[in-house]
Amino acid sequence: MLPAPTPRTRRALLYAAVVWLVGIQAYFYVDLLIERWDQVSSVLSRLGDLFG
Amino acid sequence: MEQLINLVVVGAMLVAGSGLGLLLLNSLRLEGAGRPQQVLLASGLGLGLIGYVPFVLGLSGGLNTPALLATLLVAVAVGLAGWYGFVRLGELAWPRDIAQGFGGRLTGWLRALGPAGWVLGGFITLMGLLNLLAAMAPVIGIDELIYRVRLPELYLERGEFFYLPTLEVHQQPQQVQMLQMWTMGLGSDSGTQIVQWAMGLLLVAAVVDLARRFVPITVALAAGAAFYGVSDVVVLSARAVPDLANGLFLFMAFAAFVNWMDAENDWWLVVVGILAGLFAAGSRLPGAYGAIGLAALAILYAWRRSGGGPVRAVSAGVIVGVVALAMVVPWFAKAWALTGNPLWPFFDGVFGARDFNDSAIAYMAADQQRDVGPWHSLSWIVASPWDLVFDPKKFRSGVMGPFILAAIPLLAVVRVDRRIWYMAAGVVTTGALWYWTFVRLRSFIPVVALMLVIAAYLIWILWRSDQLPDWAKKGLGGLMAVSMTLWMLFALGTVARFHTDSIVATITAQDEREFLTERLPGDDTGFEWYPDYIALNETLPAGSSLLIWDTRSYYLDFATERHYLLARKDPFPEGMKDPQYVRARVEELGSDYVVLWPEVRYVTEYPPGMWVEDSLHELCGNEWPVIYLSDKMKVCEVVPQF
Repeated sequence: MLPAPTPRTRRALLYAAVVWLVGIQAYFYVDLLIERWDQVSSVLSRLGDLFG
Repeated sequence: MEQLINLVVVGAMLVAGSGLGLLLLNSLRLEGAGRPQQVLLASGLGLGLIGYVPFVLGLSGGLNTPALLATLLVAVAVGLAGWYGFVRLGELAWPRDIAQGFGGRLTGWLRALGPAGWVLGGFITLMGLLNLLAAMAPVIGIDELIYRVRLPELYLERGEFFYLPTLEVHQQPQQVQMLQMWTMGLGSDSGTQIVQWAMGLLLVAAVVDLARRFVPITVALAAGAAFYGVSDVVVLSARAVPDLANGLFLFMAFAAFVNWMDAENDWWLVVVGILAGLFAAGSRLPGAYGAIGLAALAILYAWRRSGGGPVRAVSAGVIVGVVALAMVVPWFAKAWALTGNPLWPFFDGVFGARDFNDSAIAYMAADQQRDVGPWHSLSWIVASPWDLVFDPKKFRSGVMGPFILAAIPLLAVVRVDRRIWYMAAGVVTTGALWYWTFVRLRSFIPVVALMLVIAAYLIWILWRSDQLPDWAKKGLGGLMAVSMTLWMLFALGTVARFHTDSIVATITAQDEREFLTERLPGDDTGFEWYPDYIALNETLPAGSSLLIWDTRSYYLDFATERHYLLARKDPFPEGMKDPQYVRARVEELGSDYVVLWPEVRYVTEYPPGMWVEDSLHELCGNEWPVIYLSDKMKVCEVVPQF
């Protein structure tokens, strides 16, 4: 059984989890934009054709 | 008019299925967590169970339009009886609500929702509308053209199930296709897509409803919106593959499991078993992962919480497992009756495998091992949570979004409701089996939905934690709003990429041939033979039998077999190297024409399958006259040797 974390450790873990939570989401959208830019641009051009 | 009939048939099925489910829940004296959940549970149960009606018709040779119409009318009558009882009970239990009137309640509910709720609800409504328009277009999906719609079409033509050796998957459980028979028999084949659209919306509602038990409605709506944006969900909302219907079955099994944890009434375990069994009956053979995972979870929970010892724990698991198995047994019996093997073509050592020779069975087993082999390496297992989010192509999957991966560490740092822990344990038990058997996100959709409920809960608990200062809470709330906005834009982009042509075709009532000629060669479907099929339909004699390279025969008006079948079933596969030997086998099969690409394009890496193709190309043009040639297709007439 692991010892219960101290309040300070708990807070540090909490902040680490928040950084992970925000960081993963930010990284996801940046990665998406780079990796799938060709798809994004083809969708935009298709919509442009449709409504242009 | 055709689409109106489809909508009416799907509406009738929803009334029939949900009403039957309400009757069943009422007879078991089970009450879900609130009336919306009762309806959703009933819908999962009833819509799954009424699929056995066309199944029985198919077995008995009575699969035709009058029988489908008569049985649907009876099912609707039963469903209306279920709804009547449900509404009457509601009047007794909630007289003030009824007195206030539906309009007043809706207005009050919308007012309480607030701007964020309106945006999220508006997004779900918009997505639902766009997906419906896409679903009303002609069928285009790959699996649909091979068997998801093609097989029910053939069964309807013959009025019964029959043995079709060319497709390995056709004896596996297809419960959801049975449900779609009603739209195919009474409306048109596009109706199969509308069934999935409706199932998708029910699943989104179920996600919101389950999340609502743990978080405020706005956060629950965010979970539903995040789920509706998963790209596999977006695509499948307008396609006739069964994963969303199956998703509803297994997700409601999880919801029923939560009810069992709350009430410890073992009839809930029976409901869990039925729903998990329906998931297995609709998902082909790997769908057993849901029932096995939930049985394991029932054992775990009963062992730790119920205090009845190992006997109690095992009996809880056995209830789930046995009931789930009972739901799939009719399908195994059908496969056994038609092939002699309930799990055809698997377990050939025990049951045999009709129309497979030893080398073909060995190749199939090795092929599956090649497919899933890398997944079982330690590095892939460890990296899978990351890869499923950032490299989904590795798993032939769409994008599921960042929320689940982002929220996982919160399980370790925030105080979590006991039921959420067990829901997370359910993700582990089902997820491990899913990963081992069939890693494609679309077969994991119900568990993704469950994980999104858990993620929404964790982020909500973090946001209201008193350990975070105000500025951090505000920052977190703002960032989550930005992330949700980006995710909704991504979802709309996915609709634009995959469904724009279908939506436009529906709105403008575009000619079907024109639409299919333009759409089927698209990068996500890659089918280039449609114009050639039309030409063959117009020139070859009716009743012709074709030996064909591609399995996507839905838009072809003739009986077909794959030429790969010759190599797969022949007891002397080496003979496929000899064109004259192949010629004799083609004549034995009774094929009138052979359909190939103009050049050799191996359909398989199974050597006898490649030899067949070489031999057919050798025969076509030399021994057999070429009767049709385009830049994409060559057709030869089989001229008998003697």
